[in-house]
Amino acid sequence: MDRAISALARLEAATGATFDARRWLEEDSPEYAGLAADEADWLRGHVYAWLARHPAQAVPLARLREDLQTSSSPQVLAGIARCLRHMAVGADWLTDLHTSAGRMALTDRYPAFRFDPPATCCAPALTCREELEKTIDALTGLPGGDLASAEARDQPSLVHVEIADIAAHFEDQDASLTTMMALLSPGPALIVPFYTRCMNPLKCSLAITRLGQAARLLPDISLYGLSYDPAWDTPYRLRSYGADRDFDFGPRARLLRGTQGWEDVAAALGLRVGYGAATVNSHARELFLMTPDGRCWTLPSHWLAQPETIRNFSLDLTLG
Amino acid sequence: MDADDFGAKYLAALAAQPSVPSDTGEGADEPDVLMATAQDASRPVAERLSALQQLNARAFNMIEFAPYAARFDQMLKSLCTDKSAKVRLAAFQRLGLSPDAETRRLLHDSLAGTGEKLVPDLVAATLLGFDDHASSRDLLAQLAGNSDGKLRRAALRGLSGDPSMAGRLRAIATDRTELSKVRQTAALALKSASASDFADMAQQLVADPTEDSALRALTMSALAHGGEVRAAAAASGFSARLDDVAANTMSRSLKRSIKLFKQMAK
Repeated sequence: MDRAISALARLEAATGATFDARRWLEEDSPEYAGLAADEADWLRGHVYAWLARHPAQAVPLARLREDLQTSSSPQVLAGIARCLRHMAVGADWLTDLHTSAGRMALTDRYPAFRFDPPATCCAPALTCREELEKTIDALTGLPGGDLASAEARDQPSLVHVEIADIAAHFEDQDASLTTMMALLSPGPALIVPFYTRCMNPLKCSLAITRLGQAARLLPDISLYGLSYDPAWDTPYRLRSYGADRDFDFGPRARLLRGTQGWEDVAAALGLRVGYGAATVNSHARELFLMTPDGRCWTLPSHWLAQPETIRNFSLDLTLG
Repeated sequence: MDADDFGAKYLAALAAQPSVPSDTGEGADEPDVLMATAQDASRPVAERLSALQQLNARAFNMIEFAPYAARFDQMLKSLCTDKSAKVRLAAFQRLGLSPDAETRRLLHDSLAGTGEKLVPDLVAATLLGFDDHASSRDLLAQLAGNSDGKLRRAALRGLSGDPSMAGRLRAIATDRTELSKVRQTAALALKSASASDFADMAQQLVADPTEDSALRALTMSALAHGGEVRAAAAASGFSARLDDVAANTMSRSLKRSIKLFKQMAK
């Protein structure tokens, strides 16, 4: 926790005109390295609340929206609520805000942001849910706002991966060993990073469930779940995790862990994941479409719930 | 703490607790009233603990308790530094079920000696170890090296979520100069940290008649009951070697576990 507090002090001291806080919201930022998952959430919540007090700072709306839709941390959601309230974004954010408020109805707490003044009878402290409700009240009746710009950035982006240069080995849920080249040889592959210890039901658990459900609509695409936590996610754990989520295993539907060269794979894909002492402390929802020739698209993560969009995108690639 | 120890201690604590009227007036069991009672340092500790116990029971119904959840959490955090050690302990035991960063910091600093000693070290180590992300790995690894008794065993349990600790856990589990209970705790932590390492180690321990009998029985039982380690041992032809082991041991628990393993591994 001392490291998280020190990081916050550095953030508060960073007032220069050239300072850009966006890096502080990236899961693989060095500021989060080594923190526990709850400490990473604590810091992330503070970064959003800090952004609310610094209107000159650019706020990465796509990332903020991703957190608003998926975070299970009341403190992160409270920070986001303050941020959106101070930015006076439009009413088109209300749906996500209502959903988030409902999500934390049973686990509400006080955010206790360190830079807040002591509560008084005139200005009582708000709980995390009350922060969201205050923002909902503030945005209700406003015209639409910046949601479109958050969505506009949420488009596929292409990177080239030299597959032949990645000397990585993988092991699947049946302990079968394979390589990146072999995994891609049947054709395009949809890759969903995850880890079995993830505590957020809206992230890894939902992603693997949806990956399994996508199989019926994507018969020509291989479906691979790729563990962020290869030392822990043994074949037995991968199989159990998939089976519990009705993942229909097959030659082109596998859950994998890296057994060699995992760091190269993570770097090549630019995975948005941070690590604490023993395992993952923070990660985004990520979705990739790779082709045997080494093209790799980072797809909007919510496409996993829309397999037909992925199918059309893949068809366009084939035809194009 | 062993289950037997815990059970005996719990029953003794219940018997020693003075009876507190559960209803001292209209609305006395309302969460707001109970929270006021729990926080009131001028009241007898037994009365405050009773209020906390009732609040814990009410909080179990999350939907009904939702309007009070934030205040209850805040109250528990304030009680973490209460003057009464018993009240502090009750607050930490509740918060420790899913500690946030602030609670973890208090437990960590108490255990590391860098902050106020708020709860017994054994409690702090146990609560920090309830974390399958092994977030407090560094401190627990340190304690596993330089503490002893129940505290050391609590620290070893807390390392079970970190595969990188497998080598160290195995070294302790196979060290004949260590106490049997310490070796058993390290062995079970290894089962979680690295199933393949555990399966390999357990086969050697079970097959060695000069080894500690309790450790052999425990690891054999773990092999029989754990799907992943059982599969790993069965794949290496372990079943075939067990007839000799069963014929040459007097341990009934070892024989029972061998029988179960052979049935399950079929």
